[in-house]
Amino acid sequence: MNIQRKKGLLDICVLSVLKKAPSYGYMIIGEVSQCIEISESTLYPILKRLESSGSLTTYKKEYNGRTRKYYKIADPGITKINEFLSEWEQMKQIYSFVEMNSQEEIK
Amino acid sequence: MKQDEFLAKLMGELGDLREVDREQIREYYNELICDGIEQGREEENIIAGFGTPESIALKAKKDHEEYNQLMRSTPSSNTKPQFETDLPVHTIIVEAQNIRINVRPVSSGTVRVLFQPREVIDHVSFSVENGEFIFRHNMQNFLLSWLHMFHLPQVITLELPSHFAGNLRVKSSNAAVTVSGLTNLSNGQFITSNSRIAVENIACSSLLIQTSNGGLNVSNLIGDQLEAVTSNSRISAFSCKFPNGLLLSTKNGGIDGKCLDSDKIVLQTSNSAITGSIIGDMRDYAIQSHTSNGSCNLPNCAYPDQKKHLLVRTSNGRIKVEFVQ
Repeated sequence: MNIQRKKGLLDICVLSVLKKAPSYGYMIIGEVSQCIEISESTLYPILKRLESSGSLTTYKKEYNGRTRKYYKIADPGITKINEFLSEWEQMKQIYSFVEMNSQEEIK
Repeated sequence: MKQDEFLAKLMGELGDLREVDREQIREYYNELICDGIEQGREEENIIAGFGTPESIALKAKKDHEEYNQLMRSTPSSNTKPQFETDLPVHTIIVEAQNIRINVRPVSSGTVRVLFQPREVIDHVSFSVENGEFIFRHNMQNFLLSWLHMFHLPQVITLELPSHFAGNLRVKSSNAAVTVSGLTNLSNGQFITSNSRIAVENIACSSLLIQTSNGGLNVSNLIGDQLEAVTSNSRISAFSCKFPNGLLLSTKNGGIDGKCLDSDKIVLQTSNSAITGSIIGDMRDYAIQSHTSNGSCNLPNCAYPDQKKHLLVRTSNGRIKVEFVQ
């Protein structure tokens, strides 16, 4: 898949995981990779970017004698998800348009 | 590789980064390893899955650079000019794709374009060479740009001194163009498609205003020659003085031209009415007028001593053009 396109989609996938509940690195990778390939080194800059854009916030919590960093979705992140979902109908139209044109052969 | 060795190597590779950034990366990987072990996975396998410390560090540095660039460019510096010159300029060309262009006069100052290109989508080439100021915008990656089109209402603003004496070409597509308040242009071209154009208070020797499927609104224009052309939409003109030629042309849209002043006037459309007023004496004009279905208040006449020309043509619409002093 086109790298830029994948970047945008990964952002949304990560946000959607966090929409269910706050989560931490290991868990996020596990969930997102059910749908799209993601590596540890790819997730890190995504989280950082989403944090600085205000789409998510972080907090630390004690767990098993160590601290774990949790990521929690914020309102701008929810807006991003909603925008993505509302674009779907229009995206579908474009895909079917492209599909139709590439199948059609003028004789 | 074990946890401690991996983290030590990674930190070593990240030597160039700030301490706080390195520490964040260390915490991130440390936590992933701890969580993996608690899930019952082998320490070595988890670490092997990350890739080598060298490759992780390389990627982290690259991401970090991108991130910093992003942070530098995002501050909302919408009004901060990025495309500006104080060199003498005789020709200004501003072209855009799918973005509205607004030309705004300033009493004095430099020529500049105000625009905040969006990451990935907008591509701008800008140059000032041999007196030519050239700003060209286009959109990349259709799918992505399409997704972003609905977000911010985008506009490209060109600011130039109102007395700028030179050539100005402004061209967009699928978006409006508005121009006002320039008193000294020599050649003006304002062009778009599928959208409207509004031009007012301009003095320009030779002026072309052209769109399609969008209306034209022009008022208080003066110069030698004017061509205003569209299709499938109306033209509305007020107070235009162009001694050497004044053309208003459309199809399937009405023309209303009030206080037109020229020795050579052409008003043509189809399927709609032509109305308006011309400053002058009807007897000075050789007149050709034609409509197939509609009333016409103009004669068809031409005498050798008539130096001025008026052509008014439509079909399926009335013609009502008055002469006023």
